[in-house]
Amino acid sequence: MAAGEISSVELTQAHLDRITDVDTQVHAFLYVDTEGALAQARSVDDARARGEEVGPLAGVPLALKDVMVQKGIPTTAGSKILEGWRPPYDATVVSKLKAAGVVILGKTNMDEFAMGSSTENSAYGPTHNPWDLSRIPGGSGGGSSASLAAFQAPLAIGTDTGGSIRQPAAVTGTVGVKPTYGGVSRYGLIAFSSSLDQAGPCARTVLDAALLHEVIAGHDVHDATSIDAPVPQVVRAAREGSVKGMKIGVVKELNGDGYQAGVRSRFEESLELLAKAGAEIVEVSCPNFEYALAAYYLIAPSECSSNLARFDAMRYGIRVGDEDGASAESVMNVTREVGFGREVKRRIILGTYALSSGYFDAYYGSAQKFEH
Amino acid sequence: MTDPELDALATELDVILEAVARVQEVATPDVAPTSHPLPLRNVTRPDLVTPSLTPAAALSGAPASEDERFRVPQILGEEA
Repeated sequence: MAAGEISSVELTQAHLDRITDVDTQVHAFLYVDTEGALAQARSVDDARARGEEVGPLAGVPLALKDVMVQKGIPTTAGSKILEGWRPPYDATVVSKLKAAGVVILGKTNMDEFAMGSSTENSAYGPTHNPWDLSRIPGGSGGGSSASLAAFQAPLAIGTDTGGSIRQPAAVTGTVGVKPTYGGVSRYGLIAFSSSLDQAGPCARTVLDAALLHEVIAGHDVHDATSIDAPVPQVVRAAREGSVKGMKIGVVKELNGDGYQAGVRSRFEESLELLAKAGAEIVEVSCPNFEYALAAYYLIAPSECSSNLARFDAMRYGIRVGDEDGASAESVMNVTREVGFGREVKRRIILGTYALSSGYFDAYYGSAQKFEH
Repeated sequence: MTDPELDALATELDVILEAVARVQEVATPDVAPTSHPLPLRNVTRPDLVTPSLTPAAALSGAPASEDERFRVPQILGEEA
């Protein structure tokens, strides 16, 4: 685009066409914002034509996981309870993308409220892995990973609480990074587990993911958990690509049974490649890792049960069962029964149980000792 | 939830008890609970009034609204 070989409008239209061509099979998208995307593309082309300086990702199309609020654009978090909802504000990540001139093509499919590892828990139907449509694209961010693998978008945003960026990237052969907690603002990220959730960059190359990270990362006054420090220079690191002299720790406790043969051998190959490239491979021990899953099983459902209490049919989202003078409580019950899927209900109940009075300190409090 | 759904879930609550037992093996009293990898304390910002959502924007997603307010079912229903 900088060289004038292609315009953002042409690039955006090409991706919109690709979505039209394959999305009936892949089902990565829940909403495609054709008008908005082309308008943003035009405004970037105009800025370039006027000789204005634009950022490295200006005019580049992107797919946005439907867990991020985008003003005026249908946002569902993969749930029926938010069917038809159009947020009145943008998430900080979205504001930053718009300010950088990134073209948001649409919202991608996901497991409902980010709870799941396959995107089969979406209230709007599953997404299929573009490499083999009979397989899952991973989850909860399967729509984002599939959109990249199907070349519907060169960039995507995902969110990761227990692997929901990383695992879909692994099963679609794309790149996905969960930034360090606090690295990217959670303002406007529909919350699942507030002490674990992170939005992050997804792409087909490490350099693209790094470029995207530098756009979305950084301190935000609207997110008190965001880190008030400069964004690490990941683009420079990606361009230099050197691991010479770097010490890379391999966690001893992740050695064990249950890996498929091919997975383990590729992992070991990657360690050899890193060593050949000049890195020092060191074994490290993280003895508390074996408690991580148990801690997650306490923290995530507990926080989820609290975060999802806001979906109560009063201020936004669907409302069901309000005829015949039914009480507010009854309307909340019926709406949540109809609006939430099975997995979400399961986690809310587990979390409510874990937090129930008398047990709070024993359960959630203990698990917080493992938090990081 | 329906009764069959509740019955199915009741058996799953054990996973919480198992997780607690596991975690308590090492969550000793001298380990402080944390919710963040960094020691953030008292994160504040200047107490300045800035524009926020207009009533129209705030009500834009409401199932029902009236007179710039959310219209909600009565707290005590017919059955009260």
